[in-house]
Amino acid sequence: METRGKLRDRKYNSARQFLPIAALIGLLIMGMALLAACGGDETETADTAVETEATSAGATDETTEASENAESVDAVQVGLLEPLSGPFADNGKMARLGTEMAVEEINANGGIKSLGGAKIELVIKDTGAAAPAQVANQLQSMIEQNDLSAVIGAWASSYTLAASTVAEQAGVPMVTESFADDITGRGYKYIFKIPASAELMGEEAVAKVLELAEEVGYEITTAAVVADNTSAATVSANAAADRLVARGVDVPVREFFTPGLTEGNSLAIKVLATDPQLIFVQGALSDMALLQNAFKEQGYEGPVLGAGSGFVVHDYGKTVGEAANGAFSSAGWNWDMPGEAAKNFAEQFVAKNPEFDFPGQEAGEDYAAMYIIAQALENAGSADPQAVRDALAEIDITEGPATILASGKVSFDETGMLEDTLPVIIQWQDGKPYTVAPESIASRDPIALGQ
Amino acid sequence: MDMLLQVLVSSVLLAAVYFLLSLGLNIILGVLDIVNFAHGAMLIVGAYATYYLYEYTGLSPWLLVFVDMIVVGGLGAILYLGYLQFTVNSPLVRMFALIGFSSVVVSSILVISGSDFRTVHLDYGTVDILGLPVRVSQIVAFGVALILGGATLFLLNYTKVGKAIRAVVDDRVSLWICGVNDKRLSLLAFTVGTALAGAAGGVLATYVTFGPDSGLSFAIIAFAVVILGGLGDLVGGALASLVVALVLTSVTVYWSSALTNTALFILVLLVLLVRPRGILGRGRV
Repeated sequence: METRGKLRDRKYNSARQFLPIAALIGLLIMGMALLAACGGDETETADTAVETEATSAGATDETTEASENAESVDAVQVGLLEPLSGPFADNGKMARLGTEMAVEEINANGGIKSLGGAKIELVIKDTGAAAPAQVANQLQSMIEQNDLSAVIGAWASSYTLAASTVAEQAGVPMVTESFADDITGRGYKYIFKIPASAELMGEEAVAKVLELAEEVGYEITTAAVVADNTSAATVSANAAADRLVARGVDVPVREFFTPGLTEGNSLAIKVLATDPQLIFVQGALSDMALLQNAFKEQGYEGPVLGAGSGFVVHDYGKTVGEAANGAFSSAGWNWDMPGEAAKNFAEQFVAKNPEFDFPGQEAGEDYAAMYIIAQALENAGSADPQAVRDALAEIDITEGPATILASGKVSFDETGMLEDTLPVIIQWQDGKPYTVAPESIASRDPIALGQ
Repeated sequence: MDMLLQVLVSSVLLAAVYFLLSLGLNIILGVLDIVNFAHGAMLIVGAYATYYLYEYTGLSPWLLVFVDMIVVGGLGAILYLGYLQFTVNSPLVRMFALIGFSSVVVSSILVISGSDFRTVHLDYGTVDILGLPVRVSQIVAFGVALILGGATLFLLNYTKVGKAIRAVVDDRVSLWICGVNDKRLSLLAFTVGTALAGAAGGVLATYVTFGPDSGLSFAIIAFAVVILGGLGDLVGGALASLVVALVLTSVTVYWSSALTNTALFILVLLVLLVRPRGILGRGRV
């Protein structure tokens, strides 16, 4: 009994000792909450490379004022909602670099002239590895706490599908780099999509690989499909399998694994037991590295095909190593697009970010997206999201930085799809992805494997 | 038949690595009664240590495995001296502390090294074993795992310190009576345990592409091996590694890779029901 009493006393003691610390922590939390309430996304805005002199809070007020009587705006806010941490961080970071580069250029060239030289201010938010519903909430709070004229995001198709509903309800135009066809298939008025339709890309990629195989006399009768069991990968893997089956290729193995593989050999044993001449792989970079190396070690020399995602991450070549060479994938954009604008962008991007030897897919897409939005602001002569949306729907760009896209020009159809888009098919050669199809934009001939 | 042979060879090679993965966890659990929830983080620190040391010094990753042991063992010693030794009687506090420590480690790696996946590119080619292509680096990993595992078993069974450490498991109070400083032994056991985790991380780095939070999937395997083998039973652990490797590989090959974790947990549940003291029945409850 005595010890128990003592123990209790000691507990009280330690609790009392802990009190000041607890109070301090409480105070800190309250302080932080207060700051957040005052500043809105201040921290997020502050660390963008935008050179606006106005503080975030000040800018917010002025923007509100300005959208009422146009012409004399100091700053126009554009949102960027991307996965900057978590499994898609590499992609999100590319998106951020591209967008920031466009903003810097636009502001340095005198901002939005029809708004009296208004500067663009980027409001950046990290989706992290959140669930799609949370991403919708994140966009909701971004819209509530700022005066966004438009928003760019949110990389993963599932994120964009959820977030675009919020954008639609709030009446804020959203430009996306996501692939999924559902995004523009719902009759939404405020969504604008840059890459070609996922359907088209998948079709084209399979067609290209089969065509190449035929050319070099490599017979593809059996293929294997391996993907992780996340929704995005499952959908593209099943679509690829169906396309292959439709073209008379037998697909005996459709394997869906849980992401975070600890070894690749057992899957390789299973897949290679069916003796495939083509393997479709889709998943996170770490898993693909394990799998592709295991395939190679167990003697597979045929082509590997993917659908965006990990295959267009800048580090793919470095991480997967030699087994990456010759891998095909579809992409929304590639750094070797034809035209002066694309060449300039690629050169300047590398000069500015020497850690990369070429700009990734998202960098190009969102660099163009930012320029498209800037042009819409210019045309609208207003920072009002409704006016920007209308200007986006009418937009017709045939020159300038926005033409780095595969289509070489920019206009949207009534669903919000970019018109005349081309499915970009890339192949990794010597550590870089090169566009190998369609012919009008190809920069290299595909290398054939498995002969 | 060919496929069966592939499964067997692949499993045996994997089993050695799994044994190494579980070794540190097993010692810490057996001697100190500490469920090391930071095991995954320790593995990953070892992997990153190999990655960076290899980048900057170009030393052989197999040599670096021993450097990893010093790095991660040192981290473990600091953690034990700075915190864990004060929590002997409060396992719950310890558990949360270790979970917290592990997220601090993972976040620090994220801040320092970013979320990029890392690989140590080792290409020694492949050799044929029983007519099957096997990576040379995998065979070296197998060898390193066997050497470290064997050395640990030898030290624990045939040296005085090792016997004392085993005695801590059996009866801490009698050890006090004999005048043995169990605190120093505990520190030693924790340091050795974390050092082995570091070594396992170093071996992993040579064949796996990893990111800051990749430790978890390997820690799960290590936990399964320890439970199957019996808590604190290292020989049982060796046997359990083989069982786990065989189950994981054959479930993937003959059934579905999505079911590997399910199979693993069912196996653990069954063993807990039927043989709670592990396969050999010599572990603790």
